[in-house]
Amino acid sequence: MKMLIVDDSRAMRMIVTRTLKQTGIGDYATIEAANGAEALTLIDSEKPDLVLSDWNMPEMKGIELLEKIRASGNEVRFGFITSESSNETRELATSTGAQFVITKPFTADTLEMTLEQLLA
Amino acid sequence: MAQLATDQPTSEKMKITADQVTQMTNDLFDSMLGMHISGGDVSEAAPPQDWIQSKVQIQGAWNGELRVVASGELSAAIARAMFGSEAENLVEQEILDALGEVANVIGGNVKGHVDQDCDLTLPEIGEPEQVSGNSLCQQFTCAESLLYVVLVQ
Repeated sequence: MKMLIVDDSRAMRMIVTRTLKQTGIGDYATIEAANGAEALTLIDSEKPDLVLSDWNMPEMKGIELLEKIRASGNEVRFGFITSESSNETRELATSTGAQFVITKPFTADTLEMTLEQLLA
Repeated sequence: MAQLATDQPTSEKMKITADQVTQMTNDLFDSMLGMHISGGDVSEAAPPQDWIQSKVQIQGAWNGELRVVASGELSAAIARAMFGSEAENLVEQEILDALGEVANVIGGNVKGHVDQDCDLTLPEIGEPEQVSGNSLCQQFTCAESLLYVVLVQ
């Protein structure tokens, strides 16, 4: 399985990558994008199985990225990993086509449980 | 610096407590960074001016600002915790990025507690700002250094 991690913060991309390694999820590879435009290019060229995206990014917010993906007819599995933990955020994410929202700070257990449910 | 809206009647504005900020800060350092942090007492002392501040603003139906102030040494320690195995030879931008994420996560959690129609700004890095009367300034200890978390609300 190929996962695309989208976050403008390299530090946060590192944390997501490291936390994924701490889970029991095996047989996956990660690729990274530092912004929405880069993510759209990689989704087209690399065809990831899952996108893990931040919400709050410059130029193109995560929710705009998701809107563009769905508008193009791409149904790639998509989840947010974000500090934006309001109900409004969750409702907007779900109604736009996200499968899950994980709130920062998060643990390997939270990430593993969420991904296992998604991949089951 | 952007002015915070002052037209919200105090009695109707939801207040975030020091205990809530302490919990959010502890959760971040313990669960995501693997760093021990203690304290959280409300501080009368202002953060040193030569330290580094990262801040995010919450703007909309509820207005506020979350600042994190740390020494250069602690900022580097936080960055090492975030970058893990790739922590050697971190450049200044990566250290500032890491401190910005601390403000982003705690500020995002504040926004979640408020749960009103608001936007969270991207982290800004700069010099520590003055702590005014409507600020909640808390002092923590992490990696043998002080860390200040200031919530303006």
